[in-house]
Amino acid sequence: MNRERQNMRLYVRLGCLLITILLLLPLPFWVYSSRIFVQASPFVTICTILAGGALWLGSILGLLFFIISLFRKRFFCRHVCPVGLILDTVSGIRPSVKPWWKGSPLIGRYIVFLTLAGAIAGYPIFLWMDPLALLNSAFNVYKASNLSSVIISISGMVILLLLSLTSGNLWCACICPLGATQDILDDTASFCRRFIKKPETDAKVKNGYKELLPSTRRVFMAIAAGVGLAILTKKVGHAESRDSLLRPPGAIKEDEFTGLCLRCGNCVRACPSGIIHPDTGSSGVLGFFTPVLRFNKEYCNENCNACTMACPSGALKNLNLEQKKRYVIGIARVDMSLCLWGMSDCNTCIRACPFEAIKITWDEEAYESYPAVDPLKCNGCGACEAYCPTGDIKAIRVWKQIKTN
Amino acid sequence: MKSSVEHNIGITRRDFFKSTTITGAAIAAGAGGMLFPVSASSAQQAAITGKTIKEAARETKVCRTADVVVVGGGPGGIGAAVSAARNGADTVLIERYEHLGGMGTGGLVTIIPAMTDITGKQVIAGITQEWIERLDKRDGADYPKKEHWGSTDKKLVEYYNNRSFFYATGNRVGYSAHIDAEISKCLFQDMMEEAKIKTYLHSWGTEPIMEGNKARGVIFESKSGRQAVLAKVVIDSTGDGDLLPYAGAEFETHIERTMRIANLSFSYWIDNVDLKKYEGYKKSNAKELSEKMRELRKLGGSGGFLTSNLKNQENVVWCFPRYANTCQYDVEELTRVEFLGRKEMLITHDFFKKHVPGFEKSFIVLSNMQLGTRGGRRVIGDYVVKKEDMNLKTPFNDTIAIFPNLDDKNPLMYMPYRCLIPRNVDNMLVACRAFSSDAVINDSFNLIHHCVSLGEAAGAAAAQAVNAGIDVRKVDIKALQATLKKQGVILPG
Repeated sequence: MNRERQNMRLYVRLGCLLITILLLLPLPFWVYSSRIFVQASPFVTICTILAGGALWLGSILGLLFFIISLFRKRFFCRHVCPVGLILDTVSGIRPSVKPWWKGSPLIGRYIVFLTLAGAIAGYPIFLWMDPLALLNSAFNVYKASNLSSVIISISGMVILLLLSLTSGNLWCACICPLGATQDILDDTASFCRRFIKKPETDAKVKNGYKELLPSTRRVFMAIAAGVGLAILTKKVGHAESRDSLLRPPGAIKEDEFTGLCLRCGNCVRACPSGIIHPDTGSSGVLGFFTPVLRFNKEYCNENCNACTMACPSGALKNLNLEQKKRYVIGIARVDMSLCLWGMSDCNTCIRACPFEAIKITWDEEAYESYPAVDPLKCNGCGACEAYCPTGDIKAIRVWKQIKTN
Repeated sequence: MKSSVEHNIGITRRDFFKSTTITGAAIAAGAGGMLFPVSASSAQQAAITGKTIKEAARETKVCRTADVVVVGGGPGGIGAAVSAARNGADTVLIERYEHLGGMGTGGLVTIIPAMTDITGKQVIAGITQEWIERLDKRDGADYPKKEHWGSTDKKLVEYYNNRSFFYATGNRVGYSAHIDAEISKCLFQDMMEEAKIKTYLHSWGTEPIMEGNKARGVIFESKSGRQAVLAKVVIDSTGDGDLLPYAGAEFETHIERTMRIANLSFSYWIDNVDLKKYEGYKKSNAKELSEKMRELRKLGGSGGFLTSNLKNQENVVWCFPRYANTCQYDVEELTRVEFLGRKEMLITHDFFKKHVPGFEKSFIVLSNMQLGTRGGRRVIGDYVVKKEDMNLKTPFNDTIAIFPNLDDKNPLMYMPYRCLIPRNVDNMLVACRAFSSDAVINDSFNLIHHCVSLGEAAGAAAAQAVNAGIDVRKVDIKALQATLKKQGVILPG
């Protein structure tokens, strides 16, 4: 009977892994598939709902697991989590590894409290540590255009695998915020159950209460730290001052973006033009691995909103095609010292612009004509930049508007 | 003017021979003195009235009688003269500079852009193609390989785009050529000789000889003085339509200042540039270089150039700074821009030499002999090609040329024969960028190869009109189109 149940559980877990692969493989699938996958994590769902209000169809799955976790201890880990299955298998290679970390504090719980508190303050700091997001990112390898992108995509999973090889199930038991979320839910639920059953009289309840007490202090500290960090990071976010930093359409304010972004890479994968790249420093320390736009060869197609629909966290707001056309990524500016209009009658950008935002204008003072961008029509799609034939540094480039005048 | 013209029309073949032999004898005698065929007594009896003067009527010697006279030896004129002569017309070509080729040689616009449509299919051939093939024999042309035309292969597009901005448009490789100006001059004169075209260089065709509304020839000025050529058809290939005001033809001159054709170019070449060094610097210091270019622009110079790409010209770059102006056939504007262009050429070259790696030992090897002009008068013809005609689904019945259009929806622009015929003038054709068009059409279709194509059609039509003894507007279109196709022109159907 017990063996049978174990077998059943294994089949369920294998089934979930299969579903994961089907959802994440680069098949011509529904753009939402990888979004649903990431949102299945109750940790992600709760934090994003608190931080950005990203309530969506996929959130139902996350909320469902949230509720089940109240009644079944670590249900998600035991039956669903594909990362858990992979890590279990890998750590099984070296069963001799002793859990040297037994007895050390359960970091995961503090991460959860910190992030939850941060989410309420608008900056869920460790949201990116969600294991589903890390696995999702690894599936982006095929979309990587260069070595650094490959490394960025797989780095999370590689670290988890190395942890499993060297330290057994350290990640699952101790660090994983998704696991810790379930633990917290389970603790809370069982505490409540006991409290409701026999209030005050049951010694066990008092004990249980006491059991929770020391950690409660830490929990409060974690919450306070979460709020403090959230506020601090938002203040020193600074990346917004970079005029060359461009985010995918639908991106929320820069100081919240780096917090809410899971680094799951869904937008990178969703983009048919391949212009979304994981960042390696241009958006500051806090922006590592967040998506940025580069219009080297392609541009943000006016008939596409895939990235905004693929984002599970709400860092990119869902935009329909009309909204996306009106979303301002940035504004194109012409550098006349590089522009070929003045040299060989080039008008590539004018022909490339899908919004007819570029026109030749006459400047009486300079006594010359040059291509000028209408800021009311330009949304920074980058078609002009992508097609500009000037080579390494383009004569027309899209810039973020730091301040709108 | 009219009376003197009528007088001259009566010239006989004997008179003609007499005058040429006299001139010939004078030259043979080695006379260094006055050779003016105009009698001294008739000259300079002008009436001075203040703001204008009334010139005295004078007799002008007819130096030649021909079937077709072409004024202007640029791309349009070459197309017209060669096409007319090859179709059996006795043809005279008058060119004001000492070379043939106009903008394509003396203007240093040594680029024949976009002969393929957006799919990579060649649509402009004819004499332009012959020109390139003749250049090929002397390594005088560089263009993307034929098998690459139309390719969207990213690596190919990038490769060609790095060679020249003209080789790839809209992320697709196309057929555009960089050409050798000097070799072109030589082979144009070969073409004139082969087709037995009587060519006058150093001769400025100034006025058409009119009989009512019929053109009967052209007066031109040169070191030899003022002479006339009589012909059955006059072709204006002056670029700016210089004959139009005197022919009584209507014309348009308005150009929006924001248009491409509103600008003059002052082109020059820099030689002995270490381009490898420059490319290396550009790769590793792109930002610094763009800063420098910004600085140069503040000083009044202009960055940016094309590489020659021609064989053994690995160290030559082409610069084409442009100049806004009020009018491209106003001699004061032309002079102002020449002066300004030369000043800024020095500023630019000094800056490059001092601040841009690879240019240390460079020098200015050549500046344009003719200022680069883009737009002037546009004749009002029997048909004015308008912006809307770019969207034509079916070609004109009298289509004599197809031009590639960069518009995806309507990739081909059809040119009707009627746009070469000035309204209300007989025996005259306009075969250059002064063809009958609105400014938008002129802005898009007045480049070197366009003009050659228009010229080729005009020449063939003129020969046909001469042979049939009819006015150019009565030419049999089907026959004209058949002739053009035989010459290698690509036409619908």
